[in-house]
Amino acid sequence: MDQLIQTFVQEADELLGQMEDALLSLEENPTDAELLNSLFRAMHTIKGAAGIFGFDPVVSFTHPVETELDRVRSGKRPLDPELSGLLLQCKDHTARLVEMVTQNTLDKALLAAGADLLRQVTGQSPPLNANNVPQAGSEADQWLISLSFHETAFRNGIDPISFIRYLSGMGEILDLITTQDRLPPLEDFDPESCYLSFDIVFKGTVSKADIASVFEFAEDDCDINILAPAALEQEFLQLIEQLPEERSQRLGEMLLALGAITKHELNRSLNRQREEASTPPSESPEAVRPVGALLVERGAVSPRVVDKALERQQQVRQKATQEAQLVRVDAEKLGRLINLVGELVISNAAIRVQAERHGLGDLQEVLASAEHLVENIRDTALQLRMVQIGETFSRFKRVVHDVSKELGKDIELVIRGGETELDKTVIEKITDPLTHLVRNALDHGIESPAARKQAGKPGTGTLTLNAYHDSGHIVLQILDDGAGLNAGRIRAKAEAIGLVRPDQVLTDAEVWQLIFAPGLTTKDQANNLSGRGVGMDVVRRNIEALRGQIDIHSELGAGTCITIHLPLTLAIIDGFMVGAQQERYVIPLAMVEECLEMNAQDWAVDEEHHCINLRGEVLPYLRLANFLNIPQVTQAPLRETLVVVRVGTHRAGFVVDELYGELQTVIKPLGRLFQHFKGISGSTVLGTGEVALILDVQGLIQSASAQMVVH
Amino acid sequence: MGSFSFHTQATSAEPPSVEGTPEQFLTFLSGQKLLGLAIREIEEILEAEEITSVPRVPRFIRGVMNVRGAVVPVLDLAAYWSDTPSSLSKRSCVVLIELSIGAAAQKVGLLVDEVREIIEVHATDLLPVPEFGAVADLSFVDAMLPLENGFVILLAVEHLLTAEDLPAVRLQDAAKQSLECD
Repeated sequence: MDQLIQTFVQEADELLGQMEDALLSLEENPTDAELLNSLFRAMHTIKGAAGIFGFDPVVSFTHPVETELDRVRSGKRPLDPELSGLLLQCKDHTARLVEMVTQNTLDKALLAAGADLLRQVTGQSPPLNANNVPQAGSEADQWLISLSFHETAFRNGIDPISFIRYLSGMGEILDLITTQDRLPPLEDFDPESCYLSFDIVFKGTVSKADIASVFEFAEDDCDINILAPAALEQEFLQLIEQLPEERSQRLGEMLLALGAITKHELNRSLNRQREEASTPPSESPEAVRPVGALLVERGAVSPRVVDKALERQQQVRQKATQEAQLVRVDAEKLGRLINLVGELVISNAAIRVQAERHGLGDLQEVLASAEHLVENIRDTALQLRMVQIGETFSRFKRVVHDVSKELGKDIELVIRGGETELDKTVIEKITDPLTHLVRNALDHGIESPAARKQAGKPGTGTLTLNAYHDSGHIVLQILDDGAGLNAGRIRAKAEAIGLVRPDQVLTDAEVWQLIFAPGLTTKDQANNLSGRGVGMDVVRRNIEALRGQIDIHSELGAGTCITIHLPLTLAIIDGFMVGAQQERYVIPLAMVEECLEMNAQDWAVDEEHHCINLRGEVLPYLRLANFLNIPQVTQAPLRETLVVVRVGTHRAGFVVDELYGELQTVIKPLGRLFQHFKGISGSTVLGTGEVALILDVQGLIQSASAQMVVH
Repeated sequence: MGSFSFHTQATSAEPPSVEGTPEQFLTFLSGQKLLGLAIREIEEILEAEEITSVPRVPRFIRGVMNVRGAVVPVLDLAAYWSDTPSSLSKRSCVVLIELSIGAAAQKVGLLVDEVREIIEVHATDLLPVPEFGAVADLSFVDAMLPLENGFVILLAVEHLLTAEDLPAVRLQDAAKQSLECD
């Protein structure tokens, strides 16, 4: 043993010499990675070797220095001249400590000086003894370590007791069982061979790698198994869930990343697997076992962790295959496809016109099935361009985060109905108006935390983005639980800029509509978010350009809800064709509620007020031919029909002269020339090649309601 | 930059012979007046059939028609010109041109009473548009071509639909801009 200690002293001396050289070289070149590494290596190796011999004073001094050098090495702490000087002192002190312990003396003054030095190096008071590592209390954090030393261990200079002693420096050894079953009969006993195995129950706040490092020097002469405590196992199970996908490909790597196994354990198991694989199958009846099984057999890791990791691996693989099933397609190609489907629908209609004109009964039958197919193709093609709105909504997380920070508000974003789908082209066009509305809600709507508390509301404001489908439309809602619209203030502003006369009587809803007027803002000071009074009118125009509608509902002190109705698609819809005089118009079928005979005997029709009592409900109506200024061609009284339409909560009746029935309507934009003109939202090409106009139902409902109120 | 240098080259390198090259114009009748439009502006000439009228729009917008699947607005040149709409006859035609409205290009049909002929015009033959000051806006007239028995009025397509004609276009451009910078 003396000889070994001699080796230790020599080695320490050499290492400390290197450390001094490195420190001096580093003064000229403070970032040289190799030199920094050699500093760290010196302390690390001396610490490890001292641990084997049980030289606790050396260990407890070099350990904190090593930790600090690790920080320097990883760039977390700069190696300034001051630290450099201190490290030189550390080097000298380590040399003195080595001398002290090898001579079996105890110099209290030296130890005190060391503690003092450590304080300066680390900037804090070091533990007097490594035994003071904080200990967690629960039973679940007990490590199970089994050591099985090879017979050659003693001959190679490995002393089991020194490892166990070092281990006890890192925590607490709760139990230690020495297994002696390998002891041979006395006549075969070799005093220089080691026959002992140990099972240690260990407690300490350390990682598996830390424990493994204790036995690093004995790896070649000892079978080491370290089983994580139950508490850590729970942690592993959770961590597996969070492993990034790119690191969840191979089981061994996953477990290694978790710290559930050590590199050494993994390599051993992989070697074992390779050996099994190279054994001819005749000799090993079992097939090659997977790494997981080998690791469990070795006791390196519990089966539960392996199972969980395998599960995660499976998940990731499944997801990868799912992603492989998705195809990225150029939006333009999709657009072309949808246009072609539109043309197909139109030419199919043209065939029907011909078949009917020539009375080809057989053809009509075939045509019916073709039409059915075309309808399916249409729906499928449109479905291709449908995307969930959730992604658009999620983008506002950042906006909410940034804006609330900027304004000193505390705002939470709640997203509902993110899986609701609508046409990508609609989504693209709605993003800008939506951003505007969200910012308005954040800026004008939700109050500061102090104001909210004063109003008896929780300090955190909530902004909710909601989406759902309703009768062929998608409904988007922006709800805030802020101050709500102040009808009085809006009115005052509107009067100030001449939007309303002071004597005008307005309902709350009408006042709210005023915020869509150009130039109106209730914010006294404009900031870079909102408040310039442009915006809301632009928002409304953009939404109306999408054939959508925007409504507002607010309660003072309770919040504001803005509801946007949008068509699901801008491409192809199911239409319902009606006739007014000789002209034909298409109403989106989803908006049609019912068709009634316009008969004064059945319904109380109020011609003067343009409304009808429909089963107890007042329904505004308008005569399409009159309203659209269609020249009267036929003098004969036509059989009028009332088509009841609904958009959101708004209903109205259109009086038409003819019902032609359903048709697939390929929406053709009318171009910018007509966008401003109310009443028409688009056009479609009929089977005959003629163009039919699509009614702007929302606009017409508004007009009908206005007519009813005015009279 | 590229277009700029091209432009300067084109103007500086313009030889006198180019000025001497005649340009082709299509002449047509609209509200009893003889009008002309440069051939390069014209996409095609179509029969004037099945024009669907659009309600509640200015009178000079005759309606829309189907041009191989695209819905194209049709302007009534006579109504635009003289406030008297053309009445459709067998000879009525739609001259299809492309206008830039705002930033976008838009195909527009011009309803005319009768297409006449293609004439070759030298730049030197043209007369400038007489000045009427503020009384009449003649910005859509490019030049006048004197003939033996009168004039052909050559149209400046780019001024055919002015911003005043199209409040919608103006508003939408403004709206777009303010949303972008707000």
